[in-house]
Amino acid sequence: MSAGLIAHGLLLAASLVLVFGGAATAFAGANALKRIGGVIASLTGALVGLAALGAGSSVLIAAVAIAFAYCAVGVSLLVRLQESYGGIETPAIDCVDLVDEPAEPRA
Amino acid sequence: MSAELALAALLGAPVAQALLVLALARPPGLRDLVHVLGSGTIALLAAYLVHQVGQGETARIVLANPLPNVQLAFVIEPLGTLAAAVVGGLGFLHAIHTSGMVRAIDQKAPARLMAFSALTTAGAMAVMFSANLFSFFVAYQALALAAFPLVAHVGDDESRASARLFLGTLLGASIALLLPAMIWTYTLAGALEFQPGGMLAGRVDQLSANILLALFVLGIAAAAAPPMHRWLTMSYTAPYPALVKVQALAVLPAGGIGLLKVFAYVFGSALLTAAPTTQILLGLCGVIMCAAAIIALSKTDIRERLAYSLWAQALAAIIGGLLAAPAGLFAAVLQIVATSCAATTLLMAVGTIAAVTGRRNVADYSGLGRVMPWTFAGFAIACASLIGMPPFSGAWAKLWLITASASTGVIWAAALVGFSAILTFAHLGPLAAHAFAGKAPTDAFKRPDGASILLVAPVILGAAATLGLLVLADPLASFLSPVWTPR
Amino acid sequence: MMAALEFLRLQAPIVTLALLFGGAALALVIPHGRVSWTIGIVSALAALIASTQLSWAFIVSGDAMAAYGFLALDGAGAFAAPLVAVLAFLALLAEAPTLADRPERAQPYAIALHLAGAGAWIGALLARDLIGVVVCASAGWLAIAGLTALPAQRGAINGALRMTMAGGAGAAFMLLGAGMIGYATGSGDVSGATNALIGAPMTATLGFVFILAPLMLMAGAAPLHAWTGPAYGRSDAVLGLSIASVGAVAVIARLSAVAATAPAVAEGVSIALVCVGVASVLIGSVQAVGAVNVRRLVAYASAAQVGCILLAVALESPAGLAAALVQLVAFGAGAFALLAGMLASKDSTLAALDGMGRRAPIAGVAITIGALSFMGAPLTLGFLGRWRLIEAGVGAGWWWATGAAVITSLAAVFYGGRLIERLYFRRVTETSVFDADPWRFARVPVLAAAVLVIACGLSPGWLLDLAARAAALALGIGA
Repeated sequence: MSAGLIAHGLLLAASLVLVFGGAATAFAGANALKRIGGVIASLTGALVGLAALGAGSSVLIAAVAIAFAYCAVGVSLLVRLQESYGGIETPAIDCVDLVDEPAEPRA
Repeated sequence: MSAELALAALLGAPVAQALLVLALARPPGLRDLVHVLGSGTIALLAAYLVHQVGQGETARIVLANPLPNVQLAFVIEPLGTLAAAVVGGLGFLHAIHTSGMVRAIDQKAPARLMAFSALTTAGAMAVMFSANLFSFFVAYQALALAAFPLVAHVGDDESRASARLFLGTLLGASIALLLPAMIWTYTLAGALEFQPGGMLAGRVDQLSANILLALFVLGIAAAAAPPMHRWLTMSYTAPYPALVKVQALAVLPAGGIGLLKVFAYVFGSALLTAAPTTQILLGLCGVIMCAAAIIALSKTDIRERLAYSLWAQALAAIIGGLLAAPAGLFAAVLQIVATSCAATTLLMAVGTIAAVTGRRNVADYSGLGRVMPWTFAGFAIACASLIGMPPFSGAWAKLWLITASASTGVIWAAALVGFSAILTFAHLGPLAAHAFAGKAPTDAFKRPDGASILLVAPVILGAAATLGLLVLADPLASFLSPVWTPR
Repeated sequence: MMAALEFLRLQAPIVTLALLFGGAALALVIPHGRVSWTIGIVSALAALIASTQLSWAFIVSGDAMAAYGFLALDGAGAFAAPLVAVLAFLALLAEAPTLADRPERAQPYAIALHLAGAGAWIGALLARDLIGVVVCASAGWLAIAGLTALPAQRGAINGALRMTMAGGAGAAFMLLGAGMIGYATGSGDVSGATNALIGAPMTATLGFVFILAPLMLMAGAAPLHAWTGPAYGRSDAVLGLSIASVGAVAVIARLSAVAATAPAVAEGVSIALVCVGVASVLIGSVQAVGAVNVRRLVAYASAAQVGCILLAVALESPAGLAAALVQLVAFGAGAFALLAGMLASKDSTLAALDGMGRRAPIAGVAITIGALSFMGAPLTLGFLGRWRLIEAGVGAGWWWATGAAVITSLAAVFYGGRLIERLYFRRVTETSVFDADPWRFARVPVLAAAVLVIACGLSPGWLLDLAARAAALALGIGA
């Protein structure tokens, strides 16, 4: 009983670490691929957490579907980024976007 | 015509006037005719309502129920009706003058100027006839929005900056200070309806009364209480016809009347409970009033000089209201009426002078009175009224202010009013005197035909109006007595 | 015929969703852009009628709707569903002039994604269980992200990527949160927390926070709104982004109402909403005052408006929730009026608005009224919403809520005044390129509708009554 509780606790802790760590990477990753990886890690952590909390199979299937959808959209955007910018490094992409912005005339 | 219909017509007429002026902008004669006739209609309706109020009639119209227990409503009552009649009557003269000015100086976008002038009148009328704090708040914001294009009319960087300051100060203060004051009043009194005797009388503790008073005085920035006055002193960049509306005929008087309505109908006897704040505000307004008159002396542009001078006059009206006595309230009303007459006349005269001679510097006024005798006669009479020289209306207002101050024991306020009158003489008296005493310039006129009748007649008639209080003081006192008499 | 109509009336929730998703599927299949657009308009209009009927029947008449395993009606959901539907309809109308600017292959996708996004957010408002809310919110978010990425400009793709990454991380939190609430309350239903014996209140509270925080991010609330700058500033799909924002706020209101009925979690959720609400008001206001890209200005201004709504929701009282619902309508209408008006200009800089008041008068009026509503000018819906927030706040002893409302309005005076000055007091410059496409007249109903809704500030009795009833139903209080 206590071993099961400990295991559940560890699983939950691991899921929180994955969710938070993945989210941090998704927001601040150096390139788009790492950010997508962060999202996948975060969603994986959520799946682990749901399993630890005893969620039903329908819930787990829905979570997998959500993860797949985000992954698919993320990868397609990654491809389009590569085509448009010639790279996937987010700081460089942001710099190019700033240059693209029309300068505001002085009021 | 029923009083309700007249009130509705008075509120709607300026809006219709604005739309018609825009629609009938060409030919210019038609535009000017519409503008003058519209202003004349407003003046007649306002005079009719004064007659109705004098007969004891009341009227109330409700335009909307935007919130539970809160109506957008307008009502005829002595204070607002009197102010509306003064603004309406002088507005007619101003409309004639505007027609002359736009021709004389080939004003840019005259139809737009006249349209927003009419909308500003609508806003001022709505403020004066507001039945409750919510209606006052709505009308006040509408007034600020309508007057903003007038200040920005010239379209250069200087006027745009002045306009931003104007709108930012009026709207910002109304949202940051007046709106919370309104809500607080609602929670204390359970209603927002204006009530003779004050809706807060007996319902507010000392601390709340003090804070509320400060919020209202500073929130109604159109009254130009310091430090919310910069919009007034910076508004001189507006074209002359707009300047009259902003400083003499709509914004400043509406702010003053609005503040007096708050003193009379919101606070009433509760104003005595706000003792520390009233004393502080009295002192601040008194000292700044004198400072404004001194600053005016340093200004060489006549528009800037008049802006500071009118600021001093506006502060005198606030002092009257803060005395928390019927005599003080009466004095404040007289002060606003007298200032309106004199300021309108002065600004119209200054506009005429600028249009015909191109002169704006006070040093260039020397001797001009010899070549423009009628205009400068009006100018001199208006100066005398602002200074407080009898028999002009300003004298009666100052006299009542001093009497009210003395009777309420605030002798130092009476002294400050007197000192301010001396300082006003210092910055206006020599100006008028040198205009007649100086040597007539040989190259005065830009235009060979001088000033048209449209530019001169309103100045003379406005000056004549400043004599009105000579005979009207007593009737006005009884007309206004319901304001400070609880039902 | 009558029997069929009665059947459809009882099935209003599922009919609404079917019309939107079905319309999306059909629009996707048709290769011709204008035909897809027409299908989209018809579907959106039909869904609007169905959702309005749903809302009226449930909130006003108290009619029972047919129950489905995955759908459940409550006050907040029923109130907000027609709002999302009407915004989707108007967004599709506004899409007409810009459709030709898209590549031909992308045109049906644009229509389909609009419909699917709206359908998903309405699904989140009507979902029975928490996982359904998460699935629908994620679907709605991805649809709008896809819409953002459709234009040819590469900046829009960057914006869409940021949305996707933020949404993905947020979905993880939402999933975990749903699991935690289910674990603590013993039920996966949205209303499971109501009057439940919550064995693990901390877990339940954390669960609610984990669900609500990503929704606040999706709503564009500061400081979680880093994605809004690139997304709003570089994409034409700003109306779709507004739909997502309104939908997310509505879902927050729905879930928070449930949390309010559970004493064990109510306080924690309220604190979280207050923290984000205050931050959103302050940060959004400051950023909006300094913005030079007009679409980003609206995004930051929307953050401030959302902050006020969150504060109203945080009150967890019938008056507070009613105020939030009224503000939601005002926010949606105001943002739409602003953005739809701005779409009349091809450029998104402030200078592009110069002289628009004369060149595109209807758009100028819409922007002006939207700005006035954001300012809380009297006789606009914005004023009504703010007044109700202050009333509810003062009633609960939250005097500082007045301060938040005042700050929002004050900041709006500055940036709204700047917009109005540009519209009417500046001359047209070479950067001002106005839409001359004949299809631009399809935008007129959008602008007129926005103006009319805001003009409801004059006679808002029906809206106030509806909001009050919806709030009472959401909180389980007898209407």
